[in-house]
Amino acid sequence: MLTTICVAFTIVFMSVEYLYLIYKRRFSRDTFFSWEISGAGEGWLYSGWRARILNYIFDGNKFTSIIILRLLLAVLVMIISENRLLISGCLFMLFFISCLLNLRHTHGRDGADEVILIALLGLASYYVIDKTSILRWVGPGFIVAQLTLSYFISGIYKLKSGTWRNGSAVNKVIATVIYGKPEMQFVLKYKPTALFLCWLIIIWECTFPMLFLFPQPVCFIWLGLGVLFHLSMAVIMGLNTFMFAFLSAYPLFFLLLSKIRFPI
Amino acid sequence: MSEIPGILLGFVLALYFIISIMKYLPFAQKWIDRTDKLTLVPTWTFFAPEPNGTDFYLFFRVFSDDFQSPWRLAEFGKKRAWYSFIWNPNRRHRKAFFDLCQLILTQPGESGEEMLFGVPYLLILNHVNNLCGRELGELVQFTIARKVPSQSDKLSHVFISNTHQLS
Repeated sequence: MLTTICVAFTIVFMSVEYLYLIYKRRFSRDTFFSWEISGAGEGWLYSGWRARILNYIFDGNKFTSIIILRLLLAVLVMIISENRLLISGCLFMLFFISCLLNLRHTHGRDGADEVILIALLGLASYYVIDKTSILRWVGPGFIVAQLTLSYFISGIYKLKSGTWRNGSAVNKVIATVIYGKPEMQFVLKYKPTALFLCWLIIIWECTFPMLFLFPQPVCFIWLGLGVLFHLSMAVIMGLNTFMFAFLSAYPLFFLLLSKIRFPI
Repeated sequence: MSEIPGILLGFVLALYFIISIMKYLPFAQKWIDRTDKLTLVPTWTFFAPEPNGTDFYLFFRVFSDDFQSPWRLAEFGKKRAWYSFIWNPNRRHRKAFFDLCQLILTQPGESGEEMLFGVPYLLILNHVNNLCGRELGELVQFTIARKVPSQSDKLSHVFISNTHQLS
């Protein structure tokens, strides 16, 4: 499936980014990502035999090995096409590694990590279930449901926000160095432009669940707006893996729309 | 028999999805945040309700009895390049610093002593300690400054650490 290859590609890319950060010593013991400090946090998981296991796994070189393993598993998923149980096994292992990364550091994670976690579980479920069973579509359905929920929740929270409703939200973000492009602020100096952009995002996100009710050209236009939305976020905000992660699941929307709404 | 794995997985995924929805219901939110140590339940409130309009900056200085360095800005890599829509690994590093600053500034009810032993504070101190390297001086101190560029160019210092022995 196209989504499987796209998700695997995104993981390859994210793994390469991790390896680059490891090479630049960003994950060494004297940085923000020091496990010696993070691993001393409170909680059941950071004590006793659990802590000993985690300390062993996240020891410098072994952590690098986990990332390399993640990369190799993702490459394997991209090149296997026939053996569904092997693909499923690889995807479940990738899901497990993603859970380990959630433990390794909670700071510095973003929406791309969350989407990939969801996609891995959904796809692993798809491949583990027999081809003849209709239940194998539960996994892809789960991915589509979660992504639809993500847009809807995001839209509702924006609708509740005065900053988004009055059009100043996009300008606030664009002005920052971390997620913005301050040199593009001139575009939003004209208030109606800023207001239009904010409300376009709010309306698109809030109405996203209605995708499956819209007539044919409209539902595909809605998905097209999604592609544009994520591309814009990548260009303006530098959220590259966010774009890869979300768009890797878009083939599922097209597939489900064609099967459910417009079966050939 | 062959349908059992499908039914089980269907049940698990349905439960997962229901919990993902419940995260946004007031009565369940705190319980889910407390229980979800693996961060499996996604947070879908991207840039909402309040979008991030803040940049944080980290300054540090070293000093001893007879020497004090000026406050120096800690850099987090070069400015985002034009190709960052494809390749932007420093994104994670900058986000990590941002998250740690947010945690330090918003931890409810922590006294000064508790803060010193908190993971976010220690991680930033650890980073600053490394930046100092073989600097002259015996003590290090850091401060977090904040700017809201859409409102003003002014930096305001929102947190200052204790002084700590360089190691």
